[in-house]
Order: sequence, then structure tokens, then C-alpha cells
Amino acid sequence: MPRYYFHLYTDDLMRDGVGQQLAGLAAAGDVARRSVSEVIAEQISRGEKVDLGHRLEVEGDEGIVMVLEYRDLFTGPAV
Amino acid sequence: MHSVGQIIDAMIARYEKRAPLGAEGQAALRALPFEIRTYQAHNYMVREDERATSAKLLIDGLAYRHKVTVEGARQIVSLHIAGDFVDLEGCLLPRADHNVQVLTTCTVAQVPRDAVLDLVHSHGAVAHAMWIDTLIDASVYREWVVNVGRRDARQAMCHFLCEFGARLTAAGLADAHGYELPMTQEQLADTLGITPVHVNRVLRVLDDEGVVVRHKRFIEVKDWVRLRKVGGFSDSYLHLEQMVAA
Repeated sequence: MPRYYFHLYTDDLMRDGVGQQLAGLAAAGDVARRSVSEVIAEQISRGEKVDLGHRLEVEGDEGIVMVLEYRDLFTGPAV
Repeated sequence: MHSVGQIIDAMIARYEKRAPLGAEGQAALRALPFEIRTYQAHNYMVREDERATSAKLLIDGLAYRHKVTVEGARQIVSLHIAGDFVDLEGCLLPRADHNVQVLTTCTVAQVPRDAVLDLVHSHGAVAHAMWIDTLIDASVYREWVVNVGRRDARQAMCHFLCEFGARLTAAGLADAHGYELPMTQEQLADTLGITPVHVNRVLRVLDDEGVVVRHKRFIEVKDWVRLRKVGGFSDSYLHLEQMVAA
């Protein structure tokens, strides 16, 4: 199973040095969304404002295979 | 690393404190047909739905229990350190309802379930002492449920690190500086019911705040007071006085 690394770009960069073995890009996408949703939810819970410009980048063997920007998870008028 | 003899002595001393075993009870415990086995790192000791055939006293290494959902999501439900009987309930329930895997290479003193059952049927005090093991297990599980269910990731991480630190300290395997925690990001995630990315972020925040630093497999605790405060940790549910000999 391929390994994917999930790098979180918030106010600083949190590199994933270990990664996760996942079935493929679709699975990596699921993990990316679940990971971001948890981090965002906890920030909101703790009273922090979430910066829609933050993002999660997923790296595979070939390099960055997916970029999940926080703003992509929301709809409606731009902040 | 403690020897097999030291771990068995410690177990007997612990049981003696809980219920007077008498010379006969102590001798009967010592006479159990322990078989020493090694499990290589990541191997299974017990698989869910397998028939339970033995009780395993952990001599060295770390083991964990887990269950997996239909979708394949894993939840680690407990961790075991040297001196723990990993699955005493294996002696009474016919089927394992969870998986037991080793985090590191483990040495185990295995006893066939019939030998354990014969012993508890003939020695009430031994049965009493073993019963307390399972009750403490249950208490730790109850707190685990609270940890996974009601604490946010930061609090839950702190609570877990306090719990593990307290258990290792009681077993003489940790000091004020910190302790070895040979768990991967994924295993920590499965312990707290969160994603590895979130684990990474929580540890980063705790590091920035000067509370605790994770160096690969070593947890360096910089501020035990804050670690306990953030985790809302109080060690009474561990019943540590029942876990160490007088």
C-alpha cells in the first residue's frame, strides 16, 4: 500500500515525517478531510478563529498529490 | 529489565497485600506452570474471536488491546506494562472479544487457563487478588471511555501521558524526567480516537507551551503540574496502592 504524508500549513508548517499507508488517493482524501475537520473543530471549540487560508498538503511518491485548503471545505459568501 | 523471577515475586507480593495468601497460596502461585514465550514486535498475542487458552503475565515490553470497526478503524482500548496480567479474563470467558498485540518485543510468562482455574477454585485468597486485577482494569477502562468521549484532543493527550507516566512510575520504569513510550503517531491516534495529523498538532502545541516534548520514542515531561492540570488528571482511579507491594 502506498504511503502518504500529511503536511499541515497553519501559522507554521507541521511536517509529517512518518505518513500513513493507505489504499490510494481516495483514502488519502478521506483522511485529509477527517484530519482537517478535527483540527478545525477543536480550534473553534477553544474559541480560536480559523484561518481559511490554512491548508493540508498530501504528499505521495510522486510529490504533492492533493492540496486541501480550509476554504474549500466551506461554501457561501467569501469571508 | 526485570527478570521473570522478579516479576513473579512482585506479583505475589502485590497479591499478598490485597488478601492474605498464606504460605500455601504463595507456593501455589509460584508453582503455576509458567511457560516463557517471546512475541516479536507487532505480533498478535490474541486475536478477537479466538478461543482463550491462557493467561499471560507480561515480563518485559509493552502490549496493547484493540478492536477494529467494520470500516477498519482501530481503537486501542488499553496498554499493558511489565507486571500486568494481560488477559486474566481469558481464563473465564471462552472467546477473546478483543485483539492483543505487542508494541515492542515482549517476554511473557504464559499459564494455561485450566491451571489458573484450578488455582482460583482451591485458593479463595488468590481468586480475590486476581479479581482485584480485573476490577482495576475495568476502572482504567471507564476512565479511558471518558478520555476518548469527553476530553478534547489536547486534554486527552495530557491525561493519557499522565496515566502512562503514573503507571510506569509505580512500576519503577519512569522518573521525573519522562519515560519511554514506543508508540507511533498512528498508535497514539488510535488510543485517543483522533487522527494522526491531530496527534502531531497537539504534541506540537504542547511542545510550544513547554509542557511535554515527544522525542520519537521518549516522552520528556517538562511540566508535570501543567500536564496534570490540562489533562484533569487525578490518579485515584488507577488504584495504585493495589498495584504495588507494601
